[in-house]
Amino acid sequence: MNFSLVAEAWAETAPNVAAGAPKLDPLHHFQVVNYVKLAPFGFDISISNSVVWMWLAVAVAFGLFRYALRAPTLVPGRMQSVAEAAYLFLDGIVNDVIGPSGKKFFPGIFTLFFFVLFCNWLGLIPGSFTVTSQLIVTGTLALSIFVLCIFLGVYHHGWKFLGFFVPHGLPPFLLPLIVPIEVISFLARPVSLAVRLFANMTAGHTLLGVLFFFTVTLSWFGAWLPFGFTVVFSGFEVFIGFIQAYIFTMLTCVYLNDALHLH
Amino acid sequence: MEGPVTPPPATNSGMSMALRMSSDLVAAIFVGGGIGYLLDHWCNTQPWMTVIFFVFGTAAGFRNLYRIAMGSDQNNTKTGNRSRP
Repeated sequence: MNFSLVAEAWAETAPNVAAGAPKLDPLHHFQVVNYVKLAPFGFDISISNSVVWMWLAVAVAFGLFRYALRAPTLVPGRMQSVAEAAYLFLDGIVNDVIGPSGKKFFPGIFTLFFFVLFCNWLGLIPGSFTVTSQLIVTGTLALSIFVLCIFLGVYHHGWKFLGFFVPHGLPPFLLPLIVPIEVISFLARPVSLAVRLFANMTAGHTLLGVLFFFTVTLSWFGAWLPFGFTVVFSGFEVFIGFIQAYIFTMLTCVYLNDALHLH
Repeated sequence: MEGPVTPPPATNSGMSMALRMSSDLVAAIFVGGGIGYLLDHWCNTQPWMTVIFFVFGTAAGFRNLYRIAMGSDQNNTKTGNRSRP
């Protein structure tokens, strides 16, 4: 890869820094920069920094698990214990929420969890790009899960799928009122799934940018306070990254369970 | 087996519930407003569809909150507990 391309692309987006005075630009982190422009047949599949960091997240996840399980022993060593704990954690979620029929979804859920987790965590490296802070990325994930759930519901239950929108024991004259509400709350699922992850990541990184700007611009006797906040908040962002990945995966399991069982 | 639905403990933690509730309420309001706006666009009934579906969206949002608070969207299939709100 031609690294001068990378340097040029970044130079175009860097804010103009007047002599000595840093500019407050917390949204600079979220700039999508095209490194290699590819547009066959009119489809724009340029390789941007978003794509590169997605590849890195997948590579890190794959590499970590490959390394942890390179020589598995019956009594696990440290890395293997961590990998096994991660597996059991996700197995517990799938089993608790979906039950035994969720076995065939487990590889997908596992991949989803670690993809979102490493995308969140790798974004905390200074100078990187947070993939899940793009609404289009989280929206694609959420929408594909939503479409999968609808497809599963119709495949397993046929037209009785629409019975999901009619709660039990409802007097029939309330139907025109309750059914639109149920439909809207069903359609709100992918929206909330996408927006929750996107908003948390974007807000966290913007806050980190603003806090660190204060560290940079204050003189030595004032800079320790925002610096301390930045350190603490970075740690908090690691925790939030994990929680958001967990909630995303857990809600995916809940929606899959609804599609498979409650229709 | 009768009794209240018992969701798995980790998903009952306050923070995860709070995060889900906040985003579900906002998302339902936006979805309701969005559907109303689209219907207005197609049927030229500005602004009534937007208003009506905004109200529906708010109601749906509060219904989602109730569902999360009651834990009734997570049925523990191990105990065979399946209750509907």
